[in-house]
Amino acid sequence: MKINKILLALFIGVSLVACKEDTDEENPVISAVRINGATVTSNASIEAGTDMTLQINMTDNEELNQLKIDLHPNEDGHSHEEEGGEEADGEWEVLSVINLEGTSDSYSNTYSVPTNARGEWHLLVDVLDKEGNESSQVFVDIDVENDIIPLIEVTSVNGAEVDDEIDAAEGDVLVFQGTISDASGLADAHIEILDEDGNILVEEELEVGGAASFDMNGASITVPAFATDHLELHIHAEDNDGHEDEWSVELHND
Amino acid sequence: MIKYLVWSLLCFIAVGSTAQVTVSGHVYDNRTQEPLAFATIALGNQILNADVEGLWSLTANPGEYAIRITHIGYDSLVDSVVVEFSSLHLDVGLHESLSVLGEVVVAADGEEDSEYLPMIKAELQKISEIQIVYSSPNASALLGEFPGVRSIKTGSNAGQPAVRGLYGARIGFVVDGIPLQFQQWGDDHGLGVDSWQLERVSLVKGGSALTYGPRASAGAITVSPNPMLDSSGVAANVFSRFSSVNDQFEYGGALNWRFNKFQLDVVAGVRQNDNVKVPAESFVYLTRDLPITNNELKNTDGKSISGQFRLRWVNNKGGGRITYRGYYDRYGLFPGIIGIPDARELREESEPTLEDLPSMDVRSHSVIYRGFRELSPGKELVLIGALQQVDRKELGEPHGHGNAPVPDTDLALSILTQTASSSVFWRKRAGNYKLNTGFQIELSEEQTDGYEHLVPSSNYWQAGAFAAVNEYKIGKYELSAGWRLDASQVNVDGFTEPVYNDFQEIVGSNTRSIEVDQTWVIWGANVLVSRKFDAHRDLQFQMAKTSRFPTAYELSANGVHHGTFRHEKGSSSNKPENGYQLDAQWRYFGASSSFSAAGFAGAYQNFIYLTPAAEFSDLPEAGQLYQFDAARVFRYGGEINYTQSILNRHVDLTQDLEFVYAYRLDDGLALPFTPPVRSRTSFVYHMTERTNPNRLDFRASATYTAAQNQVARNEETTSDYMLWDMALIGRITERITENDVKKKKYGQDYYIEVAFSVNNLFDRKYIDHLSRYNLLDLPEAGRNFSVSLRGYFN
Repeated sequence: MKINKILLALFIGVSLVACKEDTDEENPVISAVRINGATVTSNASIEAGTDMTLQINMTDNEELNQLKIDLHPNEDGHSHEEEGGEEADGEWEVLSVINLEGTSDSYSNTYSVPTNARGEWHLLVDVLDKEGNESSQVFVDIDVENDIIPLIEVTSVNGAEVDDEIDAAEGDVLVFQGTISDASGLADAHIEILDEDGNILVEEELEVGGAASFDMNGASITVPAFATDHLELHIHAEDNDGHEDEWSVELHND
Repeated sequence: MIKYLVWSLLCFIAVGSTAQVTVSGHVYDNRTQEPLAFATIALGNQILNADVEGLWSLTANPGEYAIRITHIGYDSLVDSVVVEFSSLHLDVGLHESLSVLGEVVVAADGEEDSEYLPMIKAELQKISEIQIVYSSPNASALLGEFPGVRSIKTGSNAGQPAVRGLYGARIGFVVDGIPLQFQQWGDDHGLGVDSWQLERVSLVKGGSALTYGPRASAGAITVSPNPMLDSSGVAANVFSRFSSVNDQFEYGGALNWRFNKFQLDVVAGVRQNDNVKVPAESFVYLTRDLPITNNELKNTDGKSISGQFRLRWVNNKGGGRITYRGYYDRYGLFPGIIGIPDARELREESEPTLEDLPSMDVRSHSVIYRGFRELSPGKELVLIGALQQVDRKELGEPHGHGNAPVPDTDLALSILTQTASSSVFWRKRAGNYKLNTGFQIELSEEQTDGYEHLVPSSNYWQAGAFAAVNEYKIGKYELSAGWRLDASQVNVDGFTEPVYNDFQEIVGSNTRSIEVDQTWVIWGANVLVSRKFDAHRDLQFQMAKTSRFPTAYELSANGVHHGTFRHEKGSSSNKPENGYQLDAQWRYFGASSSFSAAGFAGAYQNFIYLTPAAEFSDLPEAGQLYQFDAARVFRYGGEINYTQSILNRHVDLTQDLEFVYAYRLDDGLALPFTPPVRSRTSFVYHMTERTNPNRLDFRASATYTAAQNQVARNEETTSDYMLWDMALIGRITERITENDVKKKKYGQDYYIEVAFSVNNLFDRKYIDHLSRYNLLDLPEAGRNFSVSLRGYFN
């Protein structure tokens, strides 16, 4: 019976010490994210070559600690929509961690959107308080529209939609469908195949003739010999203002 | 015990005599009437094991003999019988044991079924039943079906067992007396053995696992071989199953060939599965709907191959065995767990193949020798030596971060672990107690590689010594006590990565992990008091002090762990973890019912676990930093089991309930991945008589898992759910007749078992709180139909 009493006392003791103390488990809140003054929740649109002003307001019941801003292009397939957005073109990244103070804080900064940016960018905003409680993250798809650089749209090569790479062999003729366009007119465009060291092996000029839009229907290039398993295929365009853009894909030799 | 060992050796001596008569018998559970497979029978100087139907037979000269019939978890029968000049048949029903202390069963090869240290131990004897009712993708998932054990899952193909809510470096997975290595990348990788390789499995809870050293500070799951065949001959097992939820095919088999004093055991199995089907078409990640194409989790296919070869022998002074185990496992990783989930990557574009990335590749090999020798009557020596190699690789599309060049390999991470272990036990049996002492040593080296960094290369040694007195009787009580001392030195290489400029030129370096060189000495002890009130009731109470060393991962990890979807960072300031644990267990066994209640409570110093830091990771594509921190922690919980046989034992009803609570003492915050309360009600209808060798059983169970609102900081709560499982199992047994017995063909029998089962009958969509994928709000597997075929031939 003594053992029974000891056990009873033990479990009563356990129950008593099981009471939870007060501790801060309340998450900080991102109360607003604004781009160029407009509140955004999941989507935004900006223009290349302009400034983007980002404003973020945050609150916490006790003490804010850090804000993280992660802006990256959708170039590696990351997507937040079911069907995925347009792949990003151009280099523009922001990765910042900003220290915060107090129960309410705000952050504001202006970023220059590069003139060569086009497509979908992802903005991730996240906040921590002093205890490590994490806010609900805010995810924004930013569509960067670009009327500055030429737009190269390849709809097919040899009748097939282009994925990450094209299977090809020496002597194959690659026939392109698609358009190259620019509001200020196209000054130059060409197709080129390079080796892995960046040396141009073969090049075909496209007769764009200063037009605002060029239909690639029938444009072609012949694949040279492969020194290694891979070659690079580029389509390069330049407008009358000197702005350039490039479309590229890998050629794979089985 | 030595006496029985001697009997076991003498049983192989031919005793041919025309005056000999056949003595046979049937050993069964007195309550359920179920046969007790491989029960051990010692008659005079002869010792042998019953077959799978609990049947046994031997020949003896007329006379009076001492007889002892034993089986794990049952009270032994000790009596005397008189063999006259005609054959004798003994039907013996054993009662389930009320005491787990000192129940040492000696199989024909001198194998010990329990260690000498005090233990609260549960026998997972029915693993074959669980195996046939629940389709499982790995050994951990199978073990997770037992009360007190859960499986921490990393996707559908990987997992590891949690005992009373503790897992990872605190739980030993002990095979042939050696803890296997499976902790190199923290808590999220599989055991490195397949369920085919689980023979006799025991669960040792709490501080009882002291004998297995610091790597089993919170419990151990032990695996030991089935007994040797009782005479020269061949036995074979085959098993195959198809499961619909992932189109999984399993094929396995075992062959046991005994020739005189030797036995060769071969086990092999293959398992291959396609993507796992779930009852959902999309999942939500950060408010975005993402597709689950064709109701399948993309790239969750896998394949495993396992093999095991063992040679055993017995001689006049002991015996031994040497076992090789090999295991290969390759499985895909759901693309959503690497980086931010991508809708395009989640679309199924072609048939899955094992070459798809990202994926895991695991290859493990082990060789374990265990020798047993009688030094003098009552004294024995056991020697164990083991070599292990575990090679884990995580493969992914090559990519560079920042200005770093894109690597030319798909080897994202790898870790090669090579370990040598050795144990020596010296045991003595005296009149009213047993003494066990031992020394263990382990050397291990881990080499890491890959274009990403998670943990640097490291090495360690551990050495420990222990002593224990067992079954010391004081009046109505029985006392056991053990103590051990361990030392370890851990050396972790630092890791420095290059820093690149815009032209991909190296312009500096960044230290990701610093060098660590730490030496520690720790100790552990436990005391167990047992009281048997009468033939039906007993009580056990145990106090234990446990301790373990920090792992290299807990000291030095610093990288994005895809399995957990976060940046994990170790701390070189972590120190050994100490726990003070209490266990109590009360049991009642009646003629047609049984009840047990077990409770535990434990306080821990330096309890090491991953906790969210108040800062962000400085690595790309990583969010909040998670750091291995130490805290004062309190845990308590328990398990309740009630079993009742009704309708003339045609129906068995079982109710299990288990719960765990765990929180930090300083601020009351719960620990992460604490198992929710689970309750399982099982119903078994035996359509045939229990003694009928041809059986048809219907099983149904309802498992309710409560909502888990006891969550750690930033951990998501999960909702409750009920899962229904059903199975119809038929068995046909054919046995050689009495005439064949006279022709000495007894024991040549077989059974064939066919089972149809369905798990998650109502295709319930649910989130498992113990799955790492719950971070993505990914549901678990849906309804699963499986059909299995098992055969045993002797």
